[in-house]
Amino acid sequence: MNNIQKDLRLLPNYFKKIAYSLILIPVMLAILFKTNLISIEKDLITLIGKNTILISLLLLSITSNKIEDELTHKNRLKAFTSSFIFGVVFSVISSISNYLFPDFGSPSNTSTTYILIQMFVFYFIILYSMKKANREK
Amino acid sequence: MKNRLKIERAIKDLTQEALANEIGVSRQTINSIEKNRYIPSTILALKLSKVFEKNIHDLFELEDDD
Repeated sequence: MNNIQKDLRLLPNYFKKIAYSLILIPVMLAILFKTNLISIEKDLITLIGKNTILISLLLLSITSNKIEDELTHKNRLKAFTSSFIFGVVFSVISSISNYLFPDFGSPSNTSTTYILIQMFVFYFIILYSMKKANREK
Repeated sequence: MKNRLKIERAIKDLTQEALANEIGVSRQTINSIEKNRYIPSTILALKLSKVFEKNIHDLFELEDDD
């Protein structure tokens, strides 16, 4: 573990595998549910699905890359900042739009879990785009 | 901040990948430093000066707007 991993308290790289395997759980549950191989309440599947996706995204975001250096460190901080700004802006805009246009069909996906998932997705998009920009010669 | 990393690397006939491996960073970091998109930390600057056997001032130079 290098100093940067210690600074950010990042998890070792093998946690990526754990995170990807966690994503498979809701997928498998959904398949089993659709094929009627198991009989579980749909709400329970949604609950398990949302939470495992959230946990796996969190694990992916706090797991170190194979080469974790100071530039990656800086990019992570930038991406986290951007995703927090995105989360706040999204939350403010959706609450205002719900207040102004209550009959417009307020989006049901503004729950905490969905906002967090969107923030994580935004974080990965920003991180990936910065990585790509740094790769260009 | 200006730097002579690309020139020194060419003199030593090192690829970005080889230099990155030698100091334990990614190739993207070397590329970003060469492009002046990223200013390295003191530790990294010292590692680079050690690899090129040069004084830090010979590798990095402050500009007026720094």
